[in-house]
Amino acid sequence: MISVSIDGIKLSVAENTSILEAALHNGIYIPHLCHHKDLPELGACRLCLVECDGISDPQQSCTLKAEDGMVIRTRSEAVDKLRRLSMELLLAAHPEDCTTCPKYGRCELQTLIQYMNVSATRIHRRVKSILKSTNPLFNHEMVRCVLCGRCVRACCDMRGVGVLQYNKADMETYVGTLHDRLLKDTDCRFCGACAEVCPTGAIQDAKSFTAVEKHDKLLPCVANCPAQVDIPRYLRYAKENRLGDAAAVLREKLPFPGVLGRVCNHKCEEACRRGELNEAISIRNVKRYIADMDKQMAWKSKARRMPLTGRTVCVVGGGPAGMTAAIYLSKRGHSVTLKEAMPKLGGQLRYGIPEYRLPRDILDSETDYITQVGVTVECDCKVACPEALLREYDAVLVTTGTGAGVRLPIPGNDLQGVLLNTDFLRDVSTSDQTGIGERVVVLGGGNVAFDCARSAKRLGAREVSVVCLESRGGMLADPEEIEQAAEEGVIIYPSSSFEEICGETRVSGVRIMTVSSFRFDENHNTIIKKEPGSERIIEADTVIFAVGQRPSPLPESALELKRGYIALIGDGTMKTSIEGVFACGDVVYGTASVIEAIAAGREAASEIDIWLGGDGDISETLAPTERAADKIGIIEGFYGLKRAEELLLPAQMRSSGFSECSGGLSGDNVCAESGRCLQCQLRLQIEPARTWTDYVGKGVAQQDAQ
Amino acid sequence: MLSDNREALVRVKSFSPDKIRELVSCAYLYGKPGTLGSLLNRPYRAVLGALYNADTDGELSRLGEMNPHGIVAGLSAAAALCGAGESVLVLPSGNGFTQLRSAAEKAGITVADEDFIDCRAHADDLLLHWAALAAVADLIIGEPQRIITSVNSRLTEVMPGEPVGSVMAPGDVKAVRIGASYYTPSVMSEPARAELFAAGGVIKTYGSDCCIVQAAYEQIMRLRKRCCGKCLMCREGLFQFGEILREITKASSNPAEPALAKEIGEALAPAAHCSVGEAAAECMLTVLENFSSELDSHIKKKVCPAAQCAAFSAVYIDPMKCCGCGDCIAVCPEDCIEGKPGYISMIDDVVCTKCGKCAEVCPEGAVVRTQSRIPRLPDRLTKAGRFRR
Ligand code: SF4
Ligand code: SF4
Ligand code: SF4
Ligand code: SF4
Ligand code: SF4
Ligand code: SF4
Ligand code: FES
Repeated sequence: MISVSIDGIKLSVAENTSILEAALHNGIYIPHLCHHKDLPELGACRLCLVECDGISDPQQSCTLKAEDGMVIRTRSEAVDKLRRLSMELLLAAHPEDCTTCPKYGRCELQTLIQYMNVSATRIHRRVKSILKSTNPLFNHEMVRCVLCGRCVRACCDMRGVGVLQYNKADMETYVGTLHDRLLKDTDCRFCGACAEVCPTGAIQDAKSFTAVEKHDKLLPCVANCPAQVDIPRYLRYAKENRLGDAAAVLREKLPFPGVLGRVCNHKCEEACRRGELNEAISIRNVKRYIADMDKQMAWKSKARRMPLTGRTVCVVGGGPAGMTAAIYLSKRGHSVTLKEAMPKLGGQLRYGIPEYRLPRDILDSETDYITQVGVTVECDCKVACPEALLREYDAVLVTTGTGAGVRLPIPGNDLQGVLLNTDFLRDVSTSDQTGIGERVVVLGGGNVAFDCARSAKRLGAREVSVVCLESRGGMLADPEEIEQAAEEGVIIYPSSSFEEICGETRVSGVRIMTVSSFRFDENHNTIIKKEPGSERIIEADTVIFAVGQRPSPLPESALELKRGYIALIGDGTMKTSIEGVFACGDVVYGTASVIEAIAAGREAASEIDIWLGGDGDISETLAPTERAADKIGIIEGFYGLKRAEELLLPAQMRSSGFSECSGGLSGDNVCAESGRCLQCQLRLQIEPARTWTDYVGKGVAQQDAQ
Repeated sequence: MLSDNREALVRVKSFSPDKIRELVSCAYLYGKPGTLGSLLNRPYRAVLGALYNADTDGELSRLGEMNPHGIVAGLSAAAALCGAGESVLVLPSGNGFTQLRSAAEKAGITVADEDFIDCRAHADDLLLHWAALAAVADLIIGEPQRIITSVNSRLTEVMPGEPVGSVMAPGDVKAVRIGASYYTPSVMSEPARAELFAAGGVIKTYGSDCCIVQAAYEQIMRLRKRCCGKCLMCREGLFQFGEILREITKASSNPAEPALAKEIGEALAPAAHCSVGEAAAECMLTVLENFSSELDSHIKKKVCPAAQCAAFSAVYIDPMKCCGCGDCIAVCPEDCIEGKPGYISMIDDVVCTKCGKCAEVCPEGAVVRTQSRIPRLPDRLTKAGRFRR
């Protein structure tokens, strides 16, 4: 350590520290522009000048290494005069229109101008020719560039990419790319380091955000994931072929990665920033590959197990939410019993989602983990009154989901041959008789409707149709579900209303009409506008209602309900009306995705742990925690890299049985696909801009006008 | 020094570092005070032999054709002297220097084709001018050390200590530019020192018919072309210098500008990372110091002593000579000449920019440029040949 004095304050700093770093680190502000904590120094702006005893001229503090016994003054007449001159010269080449600048209010230069209180009045001004270009994710408005060179150093030195450089046209130097190409035509990695470090409005995010929004806007995949899985981290490991580490990242947040790798509704991909270049990363398929390859499960040795607390919890319902909660509660040291009404664990994963989407061996291998962490599982155990369990357990969590199908009130809804989605899919899964005939009509347009239709097809139905209110583009099911079903021969009737199920005792058809528009009123009733004279009948012997699911009733329970769902006592809590009874998952908010159920299960585990006297911290560090390397280098043609296609069985082979449709990605493709990721989190590793206002109160005040 | 010093290259290989130190520590540095020996107080990663960034004349590059082996010998000696791991010879891009290139390669020196040296990237390297290397080679063979310069485009040598003027032809000299600095003729009697020969090491004289403000403006513009634009002070300072000098020649400057130029010049010198900024500061500061009366004359008296600045002159059409052909009217970019065929053309002095286009085309030589009073001219359209004084 070295001791220096800055403005009379004695500081002890590490060797090889610059005076500027030493000052800023200790809350002493010295104005600076070209300096950035994470970049090599350029020593170009001369705003950081200080006086150093023993040296006659003011010195650049960013390049002045601290030496033992140095006495520094950050202000003097000479220093102030030189700094002001630098600022005046800088401003002479900068437009005077802060108010029309998109960076207004978030601009480092602007705060420097305020701090120094300088304008370029005695100086010859100039307007540089406007160079403006729109790139994916970033806008370049180089007329605002002050040539601090931070972006060039970020791109070259920090990232090792080097697409930004100093160019010269006649006398004017400007920052640009080789031959002034657009970023998409260069080797740009769209890492955003340039935009992050730019102190002006010259290189800016196309969509601006506030400091609070920054994390979510820059890392939208993670923000959009209900369980906040660290996606860029496992993609990076996958790219580096460190699949065990990648699996560990998944396991930090998800107990069932193999399941999710197949059935997750992948909200992350919708938000992926790669999508603004060409196509989103195939995140789900990469996850699937990682999970499938994880035979070693090395992460298990790092899993956190707390000593037994002696407290007991009963989880009612063995779907994804219940299983997740049980796992984490058990890891927190509580004795957990999981009661499941069906013969096996899994809930909708087992009795809802058909096998061609989720092979049962995958499900079994992942649900096994529950007993491994010590949860006592009781299947075939229907609970009629959860609160009664409080006599035996300290806490009860209800995650009974939405197991009951909905029968629409239309004529003929109880004819023979009318089935409910939940019953049908359960029967498909348990290989019981399903009771379908040759011609099946499914009413509904969500993923479950397509599960029903595609299962019916696989069971040998000759003609299967899906009828739904929504237009083709507005259907709720995932686009790939619709597409694959159509390939398999499922006929789709979008924009259709269900008028009547025809038939005497058995179904003979469904009468439908064409819908021109529909909406929901304030009471959640559908208001439908139909085209007159558009009636038609689809002949059928079987009709399956797939228009939603509701919780199965808990016959003896006194839990307060809200429209049939368990009512919670407030936002942000999973407590029910009965002290000690908690609820989460579909049974609370209606049918949602598997990943939401898992996220809810985690939250419930945390809340119950607190309620039982723990600290609620269910986090685990299973993967290496090293910081990602900043230097990403060049990948040729990075912009245009195409999304990897999953291997899909041909439609004919798919519809002839229940074997899995999709083979996911091949190993090579996984590497390539992960390599397409922009690694958006890298930008968050860069020190965010700090301005003089961050130092106010520590003796910093705006400089007085001269 | 101006002829190929093969001998030095042979000898340098056989000398021990101590011997080399003994012989060449006293070598001068171009454009910098001190000697080679004074630079050896710190370690260097590499030794770089190059021309200076601020060399806007390119004259000294001819040394590369004339004394290639001397340069290579000097570079080898310097590298041996400071124990640098690598020696690099920087050649201006383009063809030529074949001998120099091959001699360097043979001597195990890295050759880099570069028109501009990024001094930040070479912060740990020792940068020596080709001329300094040639001088080192001379010292190795026991020759006295000379300073090389190009006087009005003729490459020549001057002995240190001899008056600068000894290599110059006598004549009408108002100013002497050495490198980018402007001196009064008194510099000619000063003893030659290598540190005087900064930038391109060129000596150029200016007669009384030259405007020093214009000359300095052009020099600044040449430097601006070379400026890499990284240092704020250099990039923006050079722009301001250019503007300030241009406005002075255009008669539109204000009296505060020399002070501003001085402030920038003094701030620029220590801020520059390479010779471009240093040379520009020198250029501006020497003009301010040595030619203040010429600047004052432009700014306050509105007179260009060399009668070169068009803005201070008036252009008029001699009514006794104009034949009324109207050729001037056709070329005037400002459309400020009134007249019709057979009538004496008249220039609107307020609008006229003194560009001189009209004078170029006038078949009678009737367009006159003057720094003094305009004689009485017609005040209305007058037939050619009819005007009476
Ligand atoms: S970049 Fe900053 S200083 Fe420049 S106009 Fe925009 S807000 Fe103002
Ligand atoms: S690679 Fe990164 S730092 Fe370089 S231009 Fe592209 S986004 Fe900016
Ligand atoms: S674009 Fe921004 S970061 Fe890059 S040089 Fe210009 S002002 Fe600095
Ligand atoms: S590019 Fe990668 S880090 Fe960025 S949003 Fe997409 S998946 Fe996430
Ligand atoms: S002094 Fe001028 S030319 Fe030299 S490095 Fe700085 S900006 Fe570039
Ligand atoms: S000097 Fe130029 S502007 Fe003036 S009159 Fe002649 S042509 Fe026109
Ligand atoms: S911050 Fe030190 S010179 Fe720019």
